[in-house]
Amino acid sequence: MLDPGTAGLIVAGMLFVMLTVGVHIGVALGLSGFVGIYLSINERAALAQVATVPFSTTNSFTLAVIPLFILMGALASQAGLTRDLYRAAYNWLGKVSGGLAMATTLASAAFGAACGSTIVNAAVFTKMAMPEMTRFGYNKALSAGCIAASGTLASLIPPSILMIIYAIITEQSVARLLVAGLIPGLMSAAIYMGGIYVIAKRRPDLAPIPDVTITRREKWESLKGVWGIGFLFILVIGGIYAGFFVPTYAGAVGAFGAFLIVIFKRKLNGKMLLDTFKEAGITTTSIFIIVIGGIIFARFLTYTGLVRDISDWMIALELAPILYLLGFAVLYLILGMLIDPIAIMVMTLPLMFPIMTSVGYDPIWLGVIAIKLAEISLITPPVGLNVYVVRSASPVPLRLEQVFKGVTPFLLMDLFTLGLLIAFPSIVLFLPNLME
Amino acid sequence: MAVLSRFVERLALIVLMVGGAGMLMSMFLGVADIVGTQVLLIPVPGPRELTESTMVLIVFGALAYAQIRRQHIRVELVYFQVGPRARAAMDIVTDLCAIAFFALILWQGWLEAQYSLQIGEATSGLIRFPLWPARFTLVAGCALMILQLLLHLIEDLGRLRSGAPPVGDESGLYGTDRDGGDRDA
Repeated sequence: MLDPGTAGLIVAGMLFVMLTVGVHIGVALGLSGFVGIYLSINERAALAQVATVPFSTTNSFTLAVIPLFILMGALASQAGLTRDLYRAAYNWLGKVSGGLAMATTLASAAFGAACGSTIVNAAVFTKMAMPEMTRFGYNKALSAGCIAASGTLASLIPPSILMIIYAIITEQSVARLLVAGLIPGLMSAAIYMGGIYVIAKRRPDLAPIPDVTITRREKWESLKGVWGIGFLFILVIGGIYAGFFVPTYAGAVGAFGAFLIVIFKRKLNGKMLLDTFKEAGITTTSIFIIVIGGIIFARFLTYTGLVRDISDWMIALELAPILYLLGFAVLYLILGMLIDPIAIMVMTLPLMFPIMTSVGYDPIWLGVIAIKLAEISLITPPVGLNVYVVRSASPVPLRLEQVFKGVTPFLLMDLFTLGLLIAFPSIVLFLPNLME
Repeated sequence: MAVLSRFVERLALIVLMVGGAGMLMSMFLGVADIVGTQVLLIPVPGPRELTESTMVLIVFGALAYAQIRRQHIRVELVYFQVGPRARAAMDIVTDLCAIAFFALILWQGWLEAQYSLQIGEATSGLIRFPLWPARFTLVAGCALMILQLLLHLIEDLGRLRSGAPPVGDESGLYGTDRDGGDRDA
């Protein structure tokens, strides 16, 4: 039997090697957690985790909210929603300075209301908005940066998969967290749009106003394609907010609504269903393997007392709370270079949550901040995951440096938003505190 | 070999589709339950329990198919910096680790499933919904996943010699290898 400290070091080394080699993140977490418990407690305790966690994590009504919201997003994509949203945003904003980029942000944020994944959002909009902006002479760096940054809005604007995972790991209310993301998400989008406007005003050569006329009629026509999803969003989030249904059923209602939109647009057929099942199935399973592995890993951290020891030690330092927050911010930025946000949350929360709440931070507020941090790390140089997604999905040739250069102003805007959220926690807590 | 690959792929796709149908079913069940309890005030028995069991099917049913497409989430930072043979070697380690992990889940899951059947394990509540079908689904999903991982292991061992990119990858990240040129150029 090893003491927890030694086992912890072995496990950390093992995890690092496996992650570097490219072992599936969930498998790496699960195996190192298993080995850790095996070494520091005993074989029976380790096997018990493998026996119970995979089943209890999947055979769960609360967690069923994840595949249902994923299904909602997949159906909404199949209904051609992204194109409709972009078209509408473009018709209304196209003639404003920086309008095309603002339309991308707005449509991305709106699609975030149906889709819970940053990476999917960024990939979808790269394929659609990148050629459009290039066609009208927009600077490529600005366009790509705008898409990479706007993709991150999906994880704050409900429904957000990341928010649900935070809620489940920290045993907080899924409903309150989903609602808490709304205002910070909209605020981030508004700050992006304001920033784009300022950039376009100062450097019109980066974002020329397209020489096209959009009639008032075309503007109103384009709203036809999007009112359905707007209604659906209000129904889903309103229903959660009012406590009319639990989040899992909100997911069912959302998916059902998206399904009706698919039927209404006459897009329901065998191939479409198969594509939806493939997309939703693969996304769901890859998320759950991370959650399962992550929970086994977290059990190792808690059962051996490592979490208690480390957090006692850190709390005993008696630093100002903001310093703990800064410490985790740095940790997130480093992890964000390597690992996707779900895995970051699963790995850090067992330690971060008890420390941060015991120095006095609100658990719901912390969820929004943690997600904002994880999202910022996705666009931070030198290795932001979203930047890679935009580059590899782009139909227009792009260099990585171009995307990083373009994303820098958005990064500064995000830091500003983060500062506001930290300085005024009520921006986050206002809505969830109104719930009963 | 190729026959077995095709067979596993077909099977994985069928399981994925059954899982997808399950997703749609949970969606309808959820809506039906809301309409039943909130609007008509007649509770429908069992939708939550059925949704729970379906979840196991969705997750473990799609497991092997996601592996066929090599879409399980991994850290790719080093992977895309190294040559094709080093990638093959990294894939071999990945396959072996995944085989070990899912074999552990399969072994323990099998014991749990047998026990569950023996004692007639069921949900507590208004209706007693049996849990063993979901437990055996988990075992079957892991078994299919391990089979697929073994196929990939054989393929990846071959790639170690040939230096070829993996077959069937849809991540779009191998573009440079397939086009034979740098996309940035």
